[in-house]
Amino acid sequence: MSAFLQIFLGILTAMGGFVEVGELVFSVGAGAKFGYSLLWVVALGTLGIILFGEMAGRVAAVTKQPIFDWVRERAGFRMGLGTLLAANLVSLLTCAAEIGGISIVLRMMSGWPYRLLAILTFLALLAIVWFFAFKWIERFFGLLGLLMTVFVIAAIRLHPDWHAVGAGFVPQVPTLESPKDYLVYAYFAVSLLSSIMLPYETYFYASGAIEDGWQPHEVPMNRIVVTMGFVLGSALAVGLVIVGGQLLKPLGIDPQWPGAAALGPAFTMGRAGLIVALLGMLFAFGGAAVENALTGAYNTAQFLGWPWGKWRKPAGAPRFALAWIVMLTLAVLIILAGVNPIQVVEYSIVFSVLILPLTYLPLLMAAGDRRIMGAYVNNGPTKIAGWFFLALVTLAGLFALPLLVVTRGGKL
Amino acid sequence: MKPADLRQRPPFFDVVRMLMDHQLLDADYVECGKVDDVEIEITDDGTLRATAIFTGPGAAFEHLPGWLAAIAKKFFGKRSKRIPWPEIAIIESRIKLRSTSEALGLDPADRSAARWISKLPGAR
Repeated sequence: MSAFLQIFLGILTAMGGFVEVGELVFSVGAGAKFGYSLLWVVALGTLGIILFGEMAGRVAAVTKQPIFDWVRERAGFRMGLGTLLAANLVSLLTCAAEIGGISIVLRMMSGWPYRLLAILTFLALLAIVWFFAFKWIERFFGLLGLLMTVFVIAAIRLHPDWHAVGAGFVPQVPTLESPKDYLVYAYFAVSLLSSIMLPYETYFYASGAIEDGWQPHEVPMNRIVVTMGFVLGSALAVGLVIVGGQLLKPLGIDPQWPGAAALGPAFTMGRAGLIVALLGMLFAFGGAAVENALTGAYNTAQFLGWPWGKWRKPAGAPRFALAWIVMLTLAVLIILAGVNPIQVVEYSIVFSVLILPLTYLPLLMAAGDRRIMGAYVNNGPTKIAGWFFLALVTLAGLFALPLLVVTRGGKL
Repeated sequence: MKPADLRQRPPFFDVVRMLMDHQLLDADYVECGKVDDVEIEITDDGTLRATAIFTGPGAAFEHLPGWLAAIAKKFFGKRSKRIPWPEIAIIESRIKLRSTSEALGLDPADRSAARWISKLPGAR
């Protein structure tokens, strides 16, 4: 395959896999509640995920060691085990939220019972991960997730005030009616940041780089793919905020369900827009469900030193295969138990931000160690930006749980 | 002895940094556990010498607080394997062994899981 085609496919895959159910719910919700005034958080989160995504890919390409190898080496068994359990719990909740999101969308399309659809979703995802090679899983969900671009088209067709949209990218705290509104604003800012910088993205990206056999000479390509893919991906998130701000806010609709976002394409493009939006959500959530199930298996196998990788047949990495099957099974059981999927989304997003510092610290230390990285070590600006974002996510982590409790999940 | 003098003592080997918790690879470069503990002996002249490494849940759980280690051992077993020092071929970021994991008796859980999973379509 030519280098150009490889980069092009990489960018499209990164873009299509950018949005998942948590990001969708919080982006549309942010727009519906606060207009464009949280767009700067989308931009900030995108910069953060580009920074750490690039670092994860670079460390993996140079050292061939994924993140939980570093966590184990740097933090040891005892501390590392805590990180592993927390990371896998978050991936499990995220995976459950995605399966719940898919079931909601499928119910909107078919009218079939929610629990039956959750079981069918589970079986379909199980078959896809079992039979498909890593590259095809990545491309299948990434490329079909591009249907989500319908939200950008809808945002443009809603004719927003582009001056106001642009002003939203400037960090700000808008003037709100009451003190509790400021708390809800802070809750949405923290959750939106977390939903964009979800920790599984870096775990999965680093493991994927090793699955794809990246070499150090591919570091520049990694940089282009991550930057372009994630910037275009965040355009989808911006589209969702605009749909929320331009369409739902004036109508006073508080989008509690993923389907509310589809009102944008439905309003601007009719039935066709609605169908494309729902299909886009299906594949975007499906991709995230698979990535989180695999992430749980990657983390466990890498931490405990088991053979791992989708490039091996299940018989060649049996405990790894069992681990992702267990992840998918537990995730669907959470949904079948009747837990509200949107509540699962909220918890997964808030717990994600709690473990972000534990994810980024070992990565930042490995990428900044010249003995490990040689010529590919972090340069000055990357180091400064890395520590800035580490401080930022630590701060966000400190406030995440109190804000969730105080604002009752933004429903104050 | 002052710290500065310590550094001049050859050969210096940082067991914790270079060995503990590193990935083990068998003769076929297949992952076969982590270095969960290191056996060290004091020689007659008073120097320290690494003589073996340990891998397996039993050795790993020793690093947990007592009550947690007891629970973990009850659920996941106490199995750990001693690998004599001469079995180590290369020490880099990953530790390469001279024999296969099967010959060393490592990862029996992997082999029994493989036997079970191999029966499913598309597993091989």
